[in-house]
Amino acid sequence: MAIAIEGLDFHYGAGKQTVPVLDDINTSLNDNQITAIIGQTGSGKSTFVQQLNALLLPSNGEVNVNGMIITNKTKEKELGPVRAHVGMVFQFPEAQLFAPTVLEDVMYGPLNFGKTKEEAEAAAKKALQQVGLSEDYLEQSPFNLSGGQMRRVALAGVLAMDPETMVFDEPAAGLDPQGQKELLDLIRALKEAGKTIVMISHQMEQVLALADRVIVMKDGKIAADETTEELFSRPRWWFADQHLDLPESIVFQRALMVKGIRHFDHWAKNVAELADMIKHQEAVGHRLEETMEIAFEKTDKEEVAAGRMKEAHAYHRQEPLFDNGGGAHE
Amino acid sequence: MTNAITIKNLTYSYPESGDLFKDFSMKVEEGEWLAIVGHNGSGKSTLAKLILGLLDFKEGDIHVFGTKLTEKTLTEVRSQIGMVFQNPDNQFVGATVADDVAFGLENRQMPSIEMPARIEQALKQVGMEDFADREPHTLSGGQKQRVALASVLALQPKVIILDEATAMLDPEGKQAVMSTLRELKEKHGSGLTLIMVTHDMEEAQEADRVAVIDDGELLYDEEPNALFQRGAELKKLGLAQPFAVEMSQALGVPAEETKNNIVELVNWLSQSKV
Repeated sequence: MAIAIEGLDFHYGAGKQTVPVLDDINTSLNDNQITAIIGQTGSGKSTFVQQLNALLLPSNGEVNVNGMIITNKTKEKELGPVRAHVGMVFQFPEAQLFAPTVLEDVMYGPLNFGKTKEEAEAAAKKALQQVGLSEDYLEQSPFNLSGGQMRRVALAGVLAMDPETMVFDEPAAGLDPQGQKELLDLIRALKEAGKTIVMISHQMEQVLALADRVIVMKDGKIAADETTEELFSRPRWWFADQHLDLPESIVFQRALMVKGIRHFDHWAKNVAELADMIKHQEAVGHRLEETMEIAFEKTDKEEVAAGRMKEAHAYHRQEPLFDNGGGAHE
Repeated sequence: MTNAITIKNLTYSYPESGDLFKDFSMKVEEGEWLAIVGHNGSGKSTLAKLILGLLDFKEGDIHVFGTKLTEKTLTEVRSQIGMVFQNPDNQFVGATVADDVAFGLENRQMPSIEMPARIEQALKQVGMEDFADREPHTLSGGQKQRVALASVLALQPKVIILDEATAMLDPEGKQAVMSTLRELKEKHGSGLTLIMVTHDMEEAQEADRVAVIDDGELLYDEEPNALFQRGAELKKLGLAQPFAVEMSQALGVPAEETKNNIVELVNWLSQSKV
């Protein structure tokens, strides 16, 4: 287990001025998986991930990073190994580029962690290669690059320190669709290279396509902590409660099930897979119970309320969403 | 129909690099909702800045409601155009939301007795009237962008340009801004021309017309539904299709029957044998 979190509370201020941000967080992050952290703005996602490399210390409880225990008593000088183990890529990381050349910018991290100049240069070059920037960029100013390229340089800066775990806060935000796709491919490649990935995202399509597991935050608490497949099997009203969207492909899959047009044994990760699933399956003749109707109709408030009743009923009976009982609740 | 903006044979180069726009022409009709899309670096934001006279161009000319953009007419042209930028944190000057909206009015030397009504009306239009006394930094990203929009609306421009105004917002913030735009468009009709620079195709779908720009060239200029048919071409340009259109094509729905939303697609599948 890469990182385990136990009884973690976090608040700003003290006494009457206390502002609670995280409340009794218990979870662990599995090695070599992509864990997505989702939740409404203000739900505590960013504060949570900052605990993972001790940028913030817990008010109560502890974070165990690969055997290193972090509590509110932990001293700053003991945190070096934690920071080396968990690399943090902030939102819009290109805003933090500063060096005159790409190479120097990427070397900054390893140098800071005590590497020699030669080692740092080798690490920087390897990292830049991993993010898909050729040697032509080494001596360029990072400020003359495109937004997507700048983000890769910033990412290489973290990668060059070769952390076991990499934490991304909204890695694809603000990039155009092509830039987003490239970045997500890169994250997938990092997982394949053995990294453990934690990723905050607002985009459910990205979560569906990439994540093995999802932690949903609400008001500083964990509202769900399960596989991606399980999460997206939850009823629509639950997502509305969390102020989250369902990916459109899943809304579509659910609608096909509700209307009895197709049955599925899992959620497709992308459009191509879903098209395949639809084409290679005979249409079915009967309708499912219409518990999922709400997933498909436009949700105004009354509809949500009505749908909630229907769906809650099915949910509490623990009915499988998929008629063969596989996939969702196995 | 009158043209809100006419760009004719425009040539513009970045300092120290080649031409971005070369002999570029485009029109925006009065009251139109236009989306300008393109990948990062395509020149779409630069175009918005050129229209606003924030950048100098070499050749060609830009007319805003018939007035040619020159150094002399700059103030007049700008008084007709409001702009909302990408980063919600970079466009606040006031200590409170109301102060912020007042800033632009003060700049236009509006008598202070007229201001409160104007401010209230502007905030109402974006659904932020209850936040007038709040400090801007306590607002969410979507709320900030709606206040930025109110600051622009208070000046009663005929054209509003939004430069990737939702790119840094979460889905709720995006939806709030988009539905505010829809309401504004409905309310002002042909009195308000909207130009939305974006790479979000779900947003572009709301526009009357989409202009696709790549390396300073106007590649397509058509209605959203026609544009979205161009699946492979859009991909090549680093752009995406809305889900229902992409799904239609993946399922082999004939081009002329492409579905624009999930409900249509479900109905089509219920009657056909894929």
